Amino acid sequence: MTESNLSRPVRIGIGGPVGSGKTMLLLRLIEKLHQRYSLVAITNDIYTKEDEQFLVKNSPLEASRILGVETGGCPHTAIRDDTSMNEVAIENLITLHPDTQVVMMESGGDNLSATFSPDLVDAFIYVIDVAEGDKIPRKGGPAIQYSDLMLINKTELAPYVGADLDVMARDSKKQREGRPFVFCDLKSYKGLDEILTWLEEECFFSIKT
Amino acid sequence: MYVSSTDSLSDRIGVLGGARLLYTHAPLVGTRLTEQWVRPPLHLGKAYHEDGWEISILMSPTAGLLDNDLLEVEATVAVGANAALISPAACRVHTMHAGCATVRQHYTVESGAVLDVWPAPLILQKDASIRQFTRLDVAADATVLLCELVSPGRTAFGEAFEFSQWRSQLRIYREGSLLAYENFCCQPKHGDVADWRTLYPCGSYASFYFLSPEPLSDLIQVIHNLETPDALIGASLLREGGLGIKILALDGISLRKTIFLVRNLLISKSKLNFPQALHRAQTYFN
Amino acid sequence: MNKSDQSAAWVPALLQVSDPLFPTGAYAHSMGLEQWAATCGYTSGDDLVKFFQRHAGPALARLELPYLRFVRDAIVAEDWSAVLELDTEIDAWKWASEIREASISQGRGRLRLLKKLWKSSPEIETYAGAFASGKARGHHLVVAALQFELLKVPDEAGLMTYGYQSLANYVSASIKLLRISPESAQLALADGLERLDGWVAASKSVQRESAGWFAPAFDISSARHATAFSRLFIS
Repeated sequence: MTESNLSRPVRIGIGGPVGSGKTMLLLRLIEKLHQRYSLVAITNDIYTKEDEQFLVKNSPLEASRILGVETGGCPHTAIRDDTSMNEVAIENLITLHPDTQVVMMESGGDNLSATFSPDLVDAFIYVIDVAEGDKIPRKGGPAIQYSDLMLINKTELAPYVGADLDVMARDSKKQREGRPFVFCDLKSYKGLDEILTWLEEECFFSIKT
Repeated sequence: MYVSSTDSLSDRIGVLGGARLLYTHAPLVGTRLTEQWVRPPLHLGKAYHEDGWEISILMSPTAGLLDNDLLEVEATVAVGANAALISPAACRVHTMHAGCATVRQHYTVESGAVLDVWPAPLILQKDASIRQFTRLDVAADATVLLCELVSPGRTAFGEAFEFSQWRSQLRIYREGSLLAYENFCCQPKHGDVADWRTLYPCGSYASFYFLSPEPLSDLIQVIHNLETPDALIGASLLREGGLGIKILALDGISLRKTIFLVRNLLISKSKLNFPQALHRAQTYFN
Repeated sequence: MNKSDQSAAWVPALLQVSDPLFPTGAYAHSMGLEQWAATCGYTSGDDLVKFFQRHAGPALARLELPYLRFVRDAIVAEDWSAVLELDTEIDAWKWASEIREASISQGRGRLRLLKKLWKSSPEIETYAGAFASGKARGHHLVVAALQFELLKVPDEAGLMTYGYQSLANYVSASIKLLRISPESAQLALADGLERLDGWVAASKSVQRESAGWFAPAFDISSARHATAFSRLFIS
């Protein structure tokens, strides 16, 4: 983190393809962290604010701490090339909640090349799932290679979709060159503790609780 | 190409009609027109009183508007009063070889008051030229239904968009802050209102402003659901405390039907009792 | 407003702030074109040319560009109350709420970055302060005028640039909306740019009391976009 970033809340980006479990991860993180940290959450949706509404309905976070950003047809632009709408969303939430310590930001579902601008977030979690095919990690791309943490979600489905987790682990190790990845099944909370530990150690270390 | 106005001089001595009206509320009595000043050719008909409302019928000049005519209407609805201003006859803006007619309206609606301005259409006949200036000052907790209907000519005779110019300026202030501003000079011979003419070559237009202390965002979808192939309708929230509605319709009949539906929706949303006498007074819509 | 000078020192900075890469969120807005194209059945570059001629160009000439000039004049005169009054007036004539909010969103995005780029500008500080305190609306047109004046862009070049950006934004949206080829889109833009000179010239004679544009069908369509069943753009 740069010096100028020290005074601002820690910003965590969550990206990944459509349906991989980004919103579920956000929900689970909010469930586990909202009593420990002052959180706000931003969802990016292409045409709707459906993810925002899902969180408002299902998460324990008060509605005023959740903000949906409608990105139009370019979700990757909103998190990488032109982050102005998300920056404004962060400003609005922090104005409303000046005690904010952590900003969680979920991108709209997109392709394997979508990454967050390093100005927008301090750490970037990339979520893929086994149902997309066990070849996904092998395909590489900037998100699979360089995200700070990669999650391979929905492991419970692996036997039903013919996904070989060993192959996924092997390819992930090769592509990520030592960067961490976690197998998880967020619906059933499997792997969540490992994700929380990573967040605490790598991202939240400077937060005074 | 973009001429802001084609006002030309006319020797005709225009008529200067006017009305200044003050509606006040008194306990047990309801709303009464406590001050009035009317100058011909404007004429104030016998008022209806119902459910604490005063419904005034303000008649347009029978011959319509000619060059250099000036009509000025100033109405104040004082705290807690409920008033409606109805013009049941269409106002024709006649052919003018030069000059321009002018209509100035200023409505002030004070705290807790209600004003319903429900006129018949303005008919812009061949070579007609008119300038309208409308100002509305409204308190945050007042309710206003301000409606304007425009026909682009005597469409039944095949006359449409042959008027010379229609200039209109509308300013709506809520608690002194400018909330809505319309300002245009429409000259069909210079290609203006191509969008309107393309969709409905003889179509009519209506504009509503609904100011209310009630939350209104849920009305937008409901209003949009009223659209038919014969009437396009769009509603949009103002910065605060109100919404604007625009309607373009195939013809006058479709416009009247749609306005009726929209008014019913808005009235129901206002949670106020609008008197039945309104419909008896506004005979144009019967 | 400043007089045109022979120096072209303002060009690189103007190109920077006018570039589509300058992050103002413009990519997410069609400024009414999405619903209008659906209403009118637009499918081709020729339709886009028609849209420029019938709507975008006249709206620039009679409303947007005159207001850009009024705001810039007020900035030159250091009359900040006039700037804020014009900002409020712009807010009030943007009838469709999505178009109004799109303008503010882009203005705010531009202001945010200009504040970082031109840290020593008292004018940016003044306007940003007014925005933060709720006295300014933050419309894109106002921030654009501020930016042109700070760069000392000659008057006509500022009007041309603003016009170009408006048309180019429609072109950018049209590639997704009309599914026309980038070449067709550029041909349409070229046609619009040929006419831009005329729209800019016409805008110069428009006075404050007559500045305005009436397009009821386009307004209705822009309002209906807010409740459209599916859409690609925010406005």
